Formats: sequence, C-alpha cells, structure tokens
Amino acid sequence: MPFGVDTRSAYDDLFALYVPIAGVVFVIVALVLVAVAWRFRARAGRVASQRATAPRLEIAYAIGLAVVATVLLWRSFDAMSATSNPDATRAAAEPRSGSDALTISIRASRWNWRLLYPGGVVQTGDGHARPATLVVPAATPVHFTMTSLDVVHALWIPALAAKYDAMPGYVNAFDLRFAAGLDYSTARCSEFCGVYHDQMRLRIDVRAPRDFSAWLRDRQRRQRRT
Amino acid sequence: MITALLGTDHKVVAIRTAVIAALFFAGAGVLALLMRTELAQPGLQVTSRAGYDELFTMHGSTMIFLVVIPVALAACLYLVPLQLGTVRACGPRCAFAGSWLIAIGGLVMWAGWLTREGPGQAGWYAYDPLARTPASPGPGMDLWICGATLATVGSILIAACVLATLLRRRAPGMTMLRMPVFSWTALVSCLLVVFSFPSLVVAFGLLLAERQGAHILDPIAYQNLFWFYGHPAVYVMFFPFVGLVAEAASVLSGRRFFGYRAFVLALLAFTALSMSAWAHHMFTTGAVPNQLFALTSTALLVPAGIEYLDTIATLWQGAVRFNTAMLFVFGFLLQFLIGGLSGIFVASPVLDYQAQDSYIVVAHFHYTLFAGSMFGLFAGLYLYWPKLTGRYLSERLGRLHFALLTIGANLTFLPMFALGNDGMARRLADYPRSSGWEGLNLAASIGSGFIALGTLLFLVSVALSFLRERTAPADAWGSGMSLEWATSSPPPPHNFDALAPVTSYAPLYDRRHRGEPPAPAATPQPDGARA
Repeated sequence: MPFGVDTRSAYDDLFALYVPIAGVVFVIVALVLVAVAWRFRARAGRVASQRATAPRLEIAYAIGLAVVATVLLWRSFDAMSATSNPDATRAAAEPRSGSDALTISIRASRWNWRLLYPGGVVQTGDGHARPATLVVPAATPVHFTMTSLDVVHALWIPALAAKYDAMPGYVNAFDLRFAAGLDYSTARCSEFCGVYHDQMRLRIDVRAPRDFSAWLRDRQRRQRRT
Repeated sequence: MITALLGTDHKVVAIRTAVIAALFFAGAGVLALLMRTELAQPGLQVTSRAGYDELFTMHGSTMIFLVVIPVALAACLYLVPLQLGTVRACGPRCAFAGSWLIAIGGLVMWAGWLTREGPGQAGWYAYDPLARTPASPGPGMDLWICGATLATVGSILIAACVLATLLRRRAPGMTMLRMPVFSWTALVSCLLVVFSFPSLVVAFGLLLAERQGAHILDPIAYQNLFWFYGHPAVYVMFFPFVGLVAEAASVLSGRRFFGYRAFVLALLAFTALSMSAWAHHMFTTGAVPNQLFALTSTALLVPAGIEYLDTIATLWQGAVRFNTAMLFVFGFLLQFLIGGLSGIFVASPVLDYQAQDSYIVVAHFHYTLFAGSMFGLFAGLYLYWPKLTGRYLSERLGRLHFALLTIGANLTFLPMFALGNDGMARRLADYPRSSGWEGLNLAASIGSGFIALGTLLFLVSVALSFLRERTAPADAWGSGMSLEWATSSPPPPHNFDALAPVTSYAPLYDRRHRGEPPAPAATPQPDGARA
C-alpha cells in the first residue's frame, strides 16, 4: 500500500467518471420516456406492437451494461489501491516499520476525541462545546491508528473525502495527507453515537512541517516537565 | 367487520396487512414532518436532542419493518393467487398470524413512547454497542427490539405462504415460465425474506441477550448479521414494486411484457448477487474485503439495467394510456433511476468513504424507497384499485396527487445530495449556522409539506371512491394480460368461477387476439368439484 496518499483527488477523479455517466444515462432514459409520451400515446388508429422479445437487442444491452460495470470496477479498484483503505485487521497498533513517519493514535469516546502524539503529548476536548484539535503537518503523510472506548464512532473529514470507523475492540489503521488551505471545519463523528453526536466535531489545524515540528517539540518538552 | 379482523382468505389478510401498514405510514409521516420542521433552521426549536434521536429511529424503523416490507408482501399475498389462477393460498392461518404479528410488533415498538426513557433511539440498525444498556437504557429500547422482531417474524410467515403458493398452487397449464412478471418479482422477494430475514431475528435476539448481561456480541459480528438481513431487505422493498410497474406498463400500453425470459433471468441473477452484497454497508470498518463487496454490489447494475430496459421497451411501440397509474410508472422510472445511479456511486468504496452516513446516503435511499418504491406502489394502487374494490379512483384528483408528490419528493430529497457532498452527516439534531446549509434544509422541509398534502389528497380520493357505484368490469382497463383480470372486481372469495386456459404468461392477451372473451362462461359443476 503506498504511503501518504491523496484521498481527495482519488475521490474527485472517480466522481468525474461516475457522475457524468450517471447524467448521460438519466438523460437518455428521460428522452426515451419523452419519446414514448410523444409517439406511442394511445390514440385512434394506434395499434400496439405484438412483438414481445428482441434477443439481439437484449444481448447487446446486457453486454453494454457489463462493459460499463467492468470499467467502473476497474477504475474503483485503481482508486482503492491508490488511497489508504481502512484496515482493522493488520497489527495496526504498531508504528509503521521502516518509516519515521508521524503516528497519531486516536481514541474516540462519547463525545470526544483523544489524540495521542509521540512523547506522551495528548490533545483532547471537553466532550461538548469545545472539540479536540488535531494538529498535523501539511503535505506530509501521517499514519493513524484509531479505536473507540465505548460505542462505534467514525472520523469523517469531508475536505479529504476520508472516513474511518472507530470500534471498541478493533484498531483501524490508515494514512492521510493533509493539504493546506482546505476547509476542514466540517470534520466530525459521522456514526450516530448518542445524544450529543451532533456536537462531536474535530478541529483540524494544518501547519507547515517546520511549524508542526516546533509545536510538537514544545509540547513534548512541557510534557516531560510535568 | 369480523371478516376484516379475523378472516383468513388471502385477499382479506392482504388488505388487512396493507391497512395496518397505511396506519403506521401515517405515524411515520408525522415523525418525518417533525424532523423536517426541526431541521428547517439551525438551533433546536421543536424537540430536544434525545427527542430527535427518537424521531429518526422510529421513522426509519417504522417505515422499514412496519410499512414498506409489509405492504410489499401484502401486494404479493393479494395478487399472486389471482395471477396463478389459485382458489386458495397456501397456509391461510399462517398468513393470518403474520398480519397480526406485524400489527402487534408495531404496537410493541410504539409502546416505547409510553415509557419514561422514550422509545428506541439507537437508529434503525441499532448498532452494538450503542444499543446495549449503558448507552441506551430503559424498557423502550427492549420494546423496540421485541416489536421489530415480532414484525419481522410476521413478514417471514406471510412470505412463506406466498412462496408455497407460488411453488405448489399454480393452475393447470401454469408452468413456472408462464407466471406473470409480478408473480416472478413476488417469488424472488419471498426467497429473500425466507433466507435473509432469520438473520435479523438472530441479531436482535443476541442484542436482547446482550442487554440482559450476556457478553456475546462483537460490533463487527453484529453488523454482519444485521446487514445480511438489511441488504437483501432493501430488494424486498424494491422487487414487488418493479412488478407492479411492469404490470401497469404492460396493461396500459396494450403490449405483452417485453423480454420476459431475460427479465426472469435478470431477477434470479439479481437475487443471487444481492445475498452477497451486504458488507458494502461496512466499507469504512476495515474489517471486510472491500473489493469483493464492491464487485458484487456494482455487478447488480447489469440485471437491474435489464429489468429497466424490459419495462421501458414494453412502453415503446405500445398504445400508452396516460392515466394516473401511468404517470406514477413514469415517476417511478425516472426517480428510481436517480436512486439506482446513486446506488452504483456508493457501491464504490472510495466514493462511499465520503457518502457513507452523510446526507448523500439519505438522499440515495429516499430516492429508491420513497420516490421509487412508493411511486411504484401508487402505480399499482391506481391500476388495481378497481380490482380491489370494483370502483375507480378519480383521475382528476389522481393527477393532482401525482403532481404534489413529485414536487414534494424532489424538493425534499434532491437538496440532500448537495448537503451530503458538502459534509452534512445524517442523524444530526442540529447544524451550525456557519455551515451555510440553511437554504437547502429549508427547501427540503418545504418539500416534505408537499408530500404530506399529496398523501392527504390521496386519502380524500380513496374516501370519495367508496361513494361511487361499483362499475368496474372483470377486465377493468379492457387490456388485462393475466388471470386476475378474468375474474369479477372485486373477486369472489373462491377467486374464480371458471378459469381460462393458460397458454402463456399473458393468457388474456392470447384470448383477446383470438377474439375470445376474457374468461369462459362458468359451467355448473358438481358440488365439491370447485375446491
């Protein structure tokens, strides 16, 4: 699995394939139905065709559909191998071997996120109005391991078209790369988790890699002092 | 009255089940209106957070367990014996128990409103561990689980009766490949019910045990069990309505249904594939093979497309009558298409990572279930109302009903695609003012008002129809295809006085083209020969 991938452009590329095809299909069906209303409306002298089957047309149509399905799947599988898929089966709690990439552990609970950085640094919120802030370096692959302490939650970052479940008893592992300049304000829990589900947001603060390193070192220093 | 409550004739049981479903539909509709009122503006105006959770849980679970599945099975139970030329359905007392289990299950679910903690509020799929006692305390949740289980057992009983009737009670000459298209859709629906619904009974049984303190459930195991029911279940809420639309298309265009064999093959392939597509609801868990389930889910577009082609090709070169039933056929074909195309979209994991649990999914399944299946149901109701009652529904009110429902459905559900793509998650009691989602939410809320108006108008139309004389002949539209149009409207308790020979899947069409009347004159028979 390639490390540190652009989930947003994978989504946009597939979107640009699926949605136009859907639009064309919709327009064709709509036009055919308009033609039915126009040409085949019951009126004096109109006799319905007695033909009940046209095997060649049906086979051609089935082959056409199969071709479309194949193309969609082929591109979907491509996009899947280009992005980081959720993986709750790998020995995911381990930091990535052979890589000095940043690993952040996420513990979801009702209705809060605890973000665990190397060196014992913890970012968290108050479970209600003040959400936790995820500080990450821009344009750098970040490895995440995520689990839940109570019910099923899901981390959804719409700006990255990324969503991963947090489940008790499972550690979900994935990689993300955060572009600077996107609107991360809608990041939140998306799996219904009880009364304050609507308030389980996540703030995301994307910093230049150098600023991020300075921030993390500063927090680690303060952590050692306490 | 006693017959309506206690009768075991398949038509009586079917109508009773449909009336029960209609009552719960009214209840679920009120809950939907309350939700849309709450979401019309940011902030909490109408209800509390917990109150909102009750609303969406009860709306979704009522619509699925108590409305769409029961009404789909009611249509099967009513029509299948008539289409097959059968005097009695198999297992009449079993179907009787089924219809009352659905009613009792529904009342048990709704009894949760009387408890202090309120009814179920863990969403219609009641994920473990959210549905365990620490997160969802109170007897309302237990009542919800028990009620949904009872209703599901009721659905299994009805489906088993229809399936047995399809396999064992066909009229002489009615081979499997002479069954009308609706009966085929009923057959595959009942197969799905019988093979997949027990999985829900098991899942909810385990959930109930978990709530009593047994430590046996695991979140992923529960999700697999639930969706092994939940995914085939969505096709039980689809096939019978495709069947009704296919019948309406064929009868009202005066054509034999086009591509019958391909349609039957497509249905069977669809059914087989749909039993192995469930885990596309679990793409984000990381605990299922996403590629496999993307493959099975996307492959569904091939048989679904064939079913679409056959229905549209039936209209092509027909003599199409544009009455209300046909308008609903057109509504179904276009709107279900939006639901289907967005379904192909969410079957691709990378796209689903964004869409899952967002308003994209809410829009998708309301286009399939409401703008699709419910429109198919109305196509069937307008087509078969004269068969059910001997009376026609008003065409003028029908057109208005169609217009209100079409405006309402699209105004409500189309904005949800944009909301979801912009990052609005489902099941939120509130959204921040800064999100910029007010306009689209307000539009959706106004749309739900149109749906409510349209539904009320339909009730008025139904009431008015009972003031009219019974004028419908056996072949109410003059172009019936299969045997249900060869008996009186409404049919007698024994269904048929005499049976036309079954020569194809459209025996009445064959007779018409040979210049024969729809049914042979009833000949006096020695006592007992009829049964």
